[in-house]
Amino acid sequence: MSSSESQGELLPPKSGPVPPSSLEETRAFFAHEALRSAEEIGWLKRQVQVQRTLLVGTLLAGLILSGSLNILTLKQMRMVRDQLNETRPRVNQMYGEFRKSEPIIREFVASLQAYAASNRDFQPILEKHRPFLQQYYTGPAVPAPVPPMIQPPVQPSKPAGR
Amino acid sequence: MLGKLVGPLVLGVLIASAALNLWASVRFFFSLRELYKLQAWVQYINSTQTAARSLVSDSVEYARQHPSLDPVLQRFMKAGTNPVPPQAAAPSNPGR
Repeated sequence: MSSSESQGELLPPKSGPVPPSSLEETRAFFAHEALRSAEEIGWLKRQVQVQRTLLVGTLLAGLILSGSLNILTLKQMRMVRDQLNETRPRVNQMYGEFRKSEPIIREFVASLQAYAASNRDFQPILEKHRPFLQQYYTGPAVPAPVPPMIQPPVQPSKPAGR
Repeated sequence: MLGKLVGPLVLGVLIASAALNLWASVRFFFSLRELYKLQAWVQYINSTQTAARSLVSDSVEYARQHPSLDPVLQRFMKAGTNPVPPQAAAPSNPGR
């Protein structure tokens, strides 16, 4: 007994089409296979056509979406540009006037601060505006004098023995 | 033949549209940023002028009871040296 025969007994039987035994059967087999391949190719062609149609449809939808977004963005852009062109000269003019009046404000605040140094009761009025005109004030905030009426009353001493 | 051209043609138009959209968006962004900067300036100028005006009116009110402040105020209330010019109209908000 050879080794191949002993292995052949142990291996499972081969699956798949059994090779044709005669020429007629071979022809019939290949004819059938050719028919099946033609059907599969036709089916694949139809699938390619369907996929192409779907892709073009998707692209068209994207184009419509992009076009809508374009219209919206361009409209917004034009609106903002118009507003900017309208606002810029006005703000420039406003800024120029403000720059001219700025030294006067600074001088005015300095004069008031000098006045408040000798008249302490004006200090609260000056300090009230300090947060909004911080850049024009010189020196740290001066605490306002406390009127005698607002001074806290003297705490009475604790009674002894308790 | 025409069917084969539709896909690339639509794709090309879509890419061009996307590029246009990108350009418009970038331009819109920078314009809006500049507009906000200008508005911030307007707000700063207006708030400073309002505060200065309030300080002037408080000082005038104080000077009614304390005439010693009058010389200081009169120095700045002369024509052309008013510390607070009349308030300018603020630009409207951007339409978003």
